[in-house]
Amino acid sequence: MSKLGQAKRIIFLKTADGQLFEVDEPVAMEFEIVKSFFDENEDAADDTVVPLPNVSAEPLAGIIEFCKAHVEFRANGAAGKDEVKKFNAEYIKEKSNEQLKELILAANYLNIKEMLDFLTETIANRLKNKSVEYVRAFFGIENDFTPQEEEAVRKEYEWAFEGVDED
Amino acid sequence: MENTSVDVLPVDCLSKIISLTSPRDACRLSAVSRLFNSAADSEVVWDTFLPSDYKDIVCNSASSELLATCSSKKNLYFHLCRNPIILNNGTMSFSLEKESGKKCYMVAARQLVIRWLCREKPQWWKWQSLHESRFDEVVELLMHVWWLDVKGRIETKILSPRTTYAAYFVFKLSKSGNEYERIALQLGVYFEGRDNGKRRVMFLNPSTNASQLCRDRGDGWMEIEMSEFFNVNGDEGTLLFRVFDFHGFCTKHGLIIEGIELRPKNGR
Repeated sequence: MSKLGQAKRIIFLKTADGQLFEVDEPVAMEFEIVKSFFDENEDAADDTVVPLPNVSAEPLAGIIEFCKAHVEFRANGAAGKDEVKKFNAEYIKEKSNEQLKELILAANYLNIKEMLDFLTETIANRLKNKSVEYVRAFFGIENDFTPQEEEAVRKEYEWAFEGVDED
Repeated sequence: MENTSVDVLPVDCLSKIISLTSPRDACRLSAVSRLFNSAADSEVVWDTFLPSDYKDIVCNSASSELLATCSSKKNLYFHLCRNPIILNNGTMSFSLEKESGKKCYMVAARQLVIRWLCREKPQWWKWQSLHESRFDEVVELLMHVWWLDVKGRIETKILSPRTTYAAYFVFKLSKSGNEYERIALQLGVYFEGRDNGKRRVMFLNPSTNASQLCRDRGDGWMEIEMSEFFNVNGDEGTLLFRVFDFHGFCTKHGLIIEGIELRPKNGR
């Protein structure tokens, strides 16, 4: 382990597409899945590589950026303040719907509560008043209803389909 | 696709997202796919859309059994949208606005302060039961009187926060009530102690009013929009509403009053 607790411990993470990430321990411990990996393997060597078979490199890089910033905010006592809101708004601004979807899938798998809450709210805001077709495209979802089933749902809630935003 | 387990959000994660939209969005999202359909039906979602104090409200109503008989939260939600429940010994009703889940209340005629309505003058007003009323009794103005003055109140803290509400005078005219169509009534809504004197002047007849403020509710009653106001956090105190006409050029009778309703101005 580290000498006198001075050196920072680095956690190694390996993505589904084979990329190796070196992440500072406090940031990696934001991922519940990584934390429990080490909780369950207390004698794991420092250079143990944690495999993340359900996450690819691109979303993981985005997640690390987010968690790193938030760990710092907490350390500086800035949690809940305006600069956090500003960071979050900037962070999400350039993200496409596709990237958002990748991020939430990864954050859900890694089980990162704070980020999951943030992404959940962001996606909810992007789905408000949008058409069914828009949402299917957003998530890349196939319509698995029979035409009759879909018609029945649309008929039951006819009022909910009026005046939605243009796609 | 083989790897759907990684490509698709788990249903509870989807439910969380849907619970942060609105009832209207949730109903629409239920048409996206089977997965969305079950996510949008979940208890988590409709528990969020019901008012936070819905249990107390239903429990203290004349329909407290609903908490046990409704098979799901969604079921209860839509029951409360379609069927107002009766509170405070029949003097008020409660329902939900279906697009937003916000609270609607109606103050029954029993709870309104109506001038000339006193024990000494029973011949002027009549209490009666009408099958189209949600309340046990409504009141009808029988005799020709010169003045009309109806007042009511409601505590803003029971309303949904951050919501634009409007107050509606709910009534109908009996066969002999046609004269009312020619009478301009003054309608006022204001917070207690802060009457700005603003009054809206309206006829009790949809065709006489150019605007959409007077309309047939489709439930056997007519309504007039009295005024609107923004409820911030319910800390504005008591809201007062008043319908009156002191001019008396024409005598008035045949007016049946159901109550005064408060509901969100725009559902969304």
